[in-house]
Amino acid sequence: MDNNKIPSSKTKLKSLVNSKGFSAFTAALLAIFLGLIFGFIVMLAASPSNSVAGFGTVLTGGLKRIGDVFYFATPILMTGLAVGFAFKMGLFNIGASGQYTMGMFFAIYAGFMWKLPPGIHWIVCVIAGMTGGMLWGFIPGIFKALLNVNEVITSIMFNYIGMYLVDMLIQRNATMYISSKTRTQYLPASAQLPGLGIPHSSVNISFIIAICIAAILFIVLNKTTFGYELKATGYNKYAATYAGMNGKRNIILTMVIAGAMAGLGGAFNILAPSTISGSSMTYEPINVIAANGFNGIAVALLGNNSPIGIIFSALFISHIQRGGTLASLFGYKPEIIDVVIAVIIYFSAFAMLMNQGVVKFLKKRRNRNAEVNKIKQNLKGEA
Amino acid sequence: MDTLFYLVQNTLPVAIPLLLVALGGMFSERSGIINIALEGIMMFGALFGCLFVYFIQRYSMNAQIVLLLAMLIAAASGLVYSLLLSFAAVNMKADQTITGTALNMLVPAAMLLFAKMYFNSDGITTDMDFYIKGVPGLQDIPLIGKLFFQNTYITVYIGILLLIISTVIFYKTRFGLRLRACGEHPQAADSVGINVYLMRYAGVSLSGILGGIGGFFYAVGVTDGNTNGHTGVAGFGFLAIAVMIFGQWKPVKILFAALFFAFLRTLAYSVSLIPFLDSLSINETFYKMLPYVATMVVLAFTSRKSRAPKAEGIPYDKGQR
Repeated sequence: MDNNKIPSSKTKLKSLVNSKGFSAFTAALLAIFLGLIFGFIVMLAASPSNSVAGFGTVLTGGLKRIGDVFYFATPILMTGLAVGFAFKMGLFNIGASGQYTMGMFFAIYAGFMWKLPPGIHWIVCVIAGMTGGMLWGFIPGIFKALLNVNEVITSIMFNYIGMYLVDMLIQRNATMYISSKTRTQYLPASAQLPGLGIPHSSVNISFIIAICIAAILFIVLNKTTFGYELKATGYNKYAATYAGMNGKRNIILTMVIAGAMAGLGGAFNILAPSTISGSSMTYEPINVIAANGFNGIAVALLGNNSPIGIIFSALFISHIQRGGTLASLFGYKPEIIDVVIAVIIYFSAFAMLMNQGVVKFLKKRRNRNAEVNKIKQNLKGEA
Repeated sequence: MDTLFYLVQNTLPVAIPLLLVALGGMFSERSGIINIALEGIMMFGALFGCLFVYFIQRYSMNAQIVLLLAMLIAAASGLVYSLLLSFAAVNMKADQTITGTALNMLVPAAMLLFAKMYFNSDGITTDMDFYIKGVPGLQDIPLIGKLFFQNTYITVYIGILLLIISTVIFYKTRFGLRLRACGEHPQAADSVGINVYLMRYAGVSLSGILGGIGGFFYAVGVTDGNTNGHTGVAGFGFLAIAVMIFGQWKPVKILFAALFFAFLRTLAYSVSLIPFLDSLSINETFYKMLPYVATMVVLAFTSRKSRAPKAEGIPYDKGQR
């Protein structure tokens, strides 16, 4: 019977398994696995008796706090998009932290200084945050496109400049800043993001907006000319220029969009009402670079820079972060998760290669087994 | 005049870490590997250097000898840590920027974890005094004695010595020539029998050694012998990369670039001591921003005619021609 033309479920599965996305997925899994193993070894070294229970909490603790997982996933989902989108063009946007901080500042400024009716106020704040991020993404874009300055250096410098600038501006603003508490006041209720009404959780509308934005970016990347040009430039800058694509304009545009993503992340973070004290609604000028920007790098790499992948990797990172916080019940410090995340990124930088190695090894073994079987059968036939 | 003396005396201990780390970056990049992990390497060196000082301080040894020993420890630890980068970048052909970022993220987290577990604090605090009030014999030379041999650290002289050694290695030895060839055209270097992989390992390892020393010298000269997981080395690793670019990947130019940045930073942190700046009454955070803004301005003007090593950032593949 000739069934070559009808793709059976088996060949479908095979084409899925051989696709690029799938190998990226297994590579990410491999990196996660190695990172978690490393974390477990550290826990084992720190306190052997609690290590199994503690590690179990890291893995499953997030399930008990699923609302918090979504809540904390939103900002890193946005910074992940900021890093991943720029990566598609071959730009390393390490400046997501600065863009995120600017987004927070613009959002908080609009929240305190502008008096608007309740339904509109938070939307304006979100847009203000986006504008702040865009501005801070625009600068490295300009430096890269027109002055040939490496975007990595520019965005690192602007992380610091943004952080100091925001701290300075907030400390000087008497309306927002309470100097006795070294933080700003809490945002007025009209500027807060509306919740989703799920009991015992702080999850709010920003999570849904973030997912929608990821979907839009997916369409932009895969279905528009701009997205095509962007990816083409990422693959081969010279070929793209030769084909008549305007590289300079695309660099600036990409960085502006990336900045907008990170700025939205900052706005979502600071405007979200939370039952967890100190995590939002107020800004503390303490001269520290926002960690969520760097977590965005982890999220983007783990999600293979694809907007859809980034949604899942953001949820995963948020999940183990919650688990890490809960592991303190067993005497483990939550910093262990930062260590695990760093190790995951380290491995994910060459996970694809390792993955290929593993596949090659398995294939070799399978081939060898097949050969051995063949020889065995031949021998049997002779005997 | 006293203000000038004060500024110079305080600039030098800040300039030396920048100088050393930028030199390390230079070795790495001229061999063809972008080393963005310098920040992490610095912190790693600072951590182990300070740990060594912490454990040895009870034996009442001479402070300068302890400093030298701790420097060796920091150099060794920086070297070990940099191997993670060279392994990923040379053997695994990984993206160098991503690997570097991962290594940068790992150290602060690991340091906080370690310090919280064993010291119940955010970092390592030592109480050894490395400060030199004046160098005997030299401090009495008019002007120069006051500028360079009073109120300083031994790190300044070691730093200058390392600069001279680095320059000689870089320009006057066969090794230096080969290293530079690997950063410009590795295929050509390979074709005349130079082991590109080995050279790149050497370049990154040198940057690990210098980065580790630089990190420890930062802890000695800037944060008074302490190190902390939250503030780390305050972006000095990244500033050093900017210094290296500003110095056009050349040792002596890097020295002047490092002095320039260190001077700006010293100025920013001593505003209240300078009557002229104090009278302007500008927010001090503004001055803290200044070194970073200056970096950007400088880079904007120098990057157009940038002389970056041609092959940096590209994994060397023997099969590619």
